[in-house]
Amino acid sequence: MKKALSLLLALMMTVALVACGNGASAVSQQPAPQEKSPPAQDGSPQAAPSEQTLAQQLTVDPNQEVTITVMSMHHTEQRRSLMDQNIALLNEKYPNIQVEHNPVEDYINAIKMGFDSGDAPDIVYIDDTTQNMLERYDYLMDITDIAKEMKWADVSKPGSLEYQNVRHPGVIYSAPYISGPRVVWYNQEIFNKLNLSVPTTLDEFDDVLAKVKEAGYTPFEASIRTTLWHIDGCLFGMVPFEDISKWYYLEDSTDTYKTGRKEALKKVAEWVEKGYFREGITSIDHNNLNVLFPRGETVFYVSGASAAGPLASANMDVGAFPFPKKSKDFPTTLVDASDSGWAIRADLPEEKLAAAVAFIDSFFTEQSARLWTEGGFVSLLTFDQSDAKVTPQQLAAIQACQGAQMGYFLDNAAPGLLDAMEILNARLHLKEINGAEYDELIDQQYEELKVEELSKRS
Amino acid sequence: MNRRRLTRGILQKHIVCYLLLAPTLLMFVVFVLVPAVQTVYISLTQWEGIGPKTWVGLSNYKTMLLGNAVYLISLRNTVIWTLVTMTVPVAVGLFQANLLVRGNLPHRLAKLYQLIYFLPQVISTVVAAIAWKFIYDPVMGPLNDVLRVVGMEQYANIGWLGNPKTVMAALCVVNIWIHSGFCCVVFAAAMQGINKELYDAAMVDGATRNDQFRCITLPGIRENMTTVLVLTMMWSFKVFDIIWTMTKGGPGQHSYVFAIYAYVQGFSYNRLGLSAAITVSLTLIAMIFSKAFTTIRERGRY
Repeated sequence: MKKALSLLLALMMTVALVACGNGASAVSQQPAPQEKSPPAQDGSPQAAPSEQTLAQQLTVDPNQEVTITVMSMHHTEQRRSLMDQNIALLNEKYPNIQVEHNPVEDYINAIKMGFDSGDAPDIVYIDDTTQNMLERYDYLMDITDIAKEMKWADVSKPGSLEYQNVRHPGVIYSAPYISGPRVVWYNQEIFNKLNLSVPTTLDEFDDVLAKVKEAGYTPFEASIRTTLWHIDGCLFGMVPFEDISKWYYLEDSTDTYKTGRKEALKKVAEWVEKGYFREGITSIDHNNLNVLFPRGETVFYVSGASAAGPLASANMDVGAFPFPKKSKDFPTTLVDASDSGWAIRADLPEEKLAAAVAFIDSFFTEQSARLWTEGGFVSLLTFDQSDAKVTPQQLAAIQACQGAQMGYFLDNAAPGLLDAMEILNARLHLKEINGAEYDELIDQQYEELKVEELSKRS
Repeated sequence: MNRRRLTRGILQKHIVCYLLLAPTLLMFVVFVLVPAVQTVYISLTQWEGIGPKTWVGLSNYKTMLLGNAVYLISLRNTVIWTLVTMTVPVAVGLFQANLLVRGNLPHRLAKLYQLIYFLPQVISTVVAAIAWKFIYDPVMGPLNDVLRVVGMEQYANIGWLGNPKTVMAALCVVNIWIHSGFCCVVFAAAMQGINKELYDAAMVDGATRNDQFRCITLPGIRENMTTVLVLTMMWSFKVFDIIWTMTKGGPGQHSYVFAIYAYVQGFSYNRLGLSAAITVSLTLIAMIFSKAFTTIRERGRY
């Protein structure tokens, strides 16, 4: 009796443990219940999905309830709110499409695990490097024909779709709709007080920085992460875009690029030496910068156009300008890239395709463009936004971006480069290395990572 | 034949025990042993976390050990961290426990202080790390303000977490704050179990408080102390959350420990194979430390 009871108890415990362990994965692996589409009204048999034209395949059946899963990095309160509103726009048109949005901060690793475990979301929001990795293993759907059918290029700024997919010309895997340009915000009050004017060249910028320092202010509000954009900004203002592109796409480090990078690092190292950054910058948390800048102790803040929101909340009187260049006639390029792009997983069931495309299409409408512009982002769409309700701070950022071409976040050239650059930035500000040593070390790191990345692609 | 009968006899006698242990054993196999074996396998491959794994043998271990300055920095910091955070919370906890138990405090007050000392252990480590990060903030944090008020301005401008000279100490303080309360509670309970007549007899013989502590208290809680030391050593080796939340291994890798190094290699550089190799090496080092510790303890017994 005792043995039987013990055996029963042991079995119950085992079953409970196994059931708990499998419960979550079982739920996530279950496909969403799909209702069968009703027969055509005239009684004739409907064409099977594979026999339909693309236009037919992309037509949403309003009688069919569909649930699509979406993963993105829209995890902040600001972004989540905009996503919810955009999904509401989708549901106004298609109430039968349910969207399960999963915003994740560490979304790259979450996406990798999802795809590798066979539990990938239907739609992902991915940057250039992650897209490159996923398409290498054929995890992403080629949406070139879909993009053409839906005419996304017609409503996008010229080149933005191609720019997002430039590693494979002619093929589109993801569609971007907003970008994240870096501008130089400045404290308007201090500017007026010191009677300064907006610099357009690096020499003018140096003069202004010196005057600001002399007046007792710390020129730059920054953290170790954001000083990357000082370096990138200098680079884009000194080196032809073509040379930077070759470096970014791991093709070639031209002599022009190498010379330019040395100059850029020398410039930033000079600024460090002159004390243009806060003392103890290595202790500053970059999440606090939007709180520190309005304190009025610093004058310039290189950050995204989306900082307009927090600065507006702080009622700060600010202006913005693009990072100065070597000379006035040098093209203006912003440290920028599409924020990311929407992509569809390659093995998406055919019955979900129309809903997935409708979801992405909802970001290419005038209402969506206005929503994200008023939400503090820079839209990549060509709809007229002149009457969008924007704050003075947002307007300053939009005006600063006008006429500028998109650059890259250079730390995105290869996995690990961001970490390597941040470490070297810290060492530069700790005065453990100078600009020339930084240049040598980053070159070594880049070459090592380039070999590793190219070997994965071959 | 006799051995078989003996085994069967033992099994029949203890079958209830084995059956009740079976689920735990199954959990151990599924959630500990299998992942451990998988980690060792991954350490012998090149893998970016997605797609197929490529067998590379001991290449990751060679990369890790040969001429790798970051590995040496991580090793040094891990050893420093372990030595400090293994011993200081124990010492602080011992001191606090001795005060509470032998300090002639009213019982209720002693219990209240015990609770207060133990509270940091109850708080989530990440929450505690976020709070301390704010305390250490050079612009907005209260620590520097307090230092200015008490006339220690020369220390007030230090960015505690951004200064290579102070970052490890600042992080250790957080760990000590979290774990000394646990040590205090364990030692206080152990001290209460020591026969009070021993202290009375020692007093009669003219022993001072220090002599009583050294000759009665310490030997009396020896077993508990070694258990606590093993626990603090385990916690120290696997530290990640405090350091990642507060500095992410910075500034410039000055607070890198093994766990941070493994995480960055795995999830920033997409080198899961190398990350697994670092983890395996950390496990081996921890096992060596544990074995050495238990050997010394066993020798001390005899």
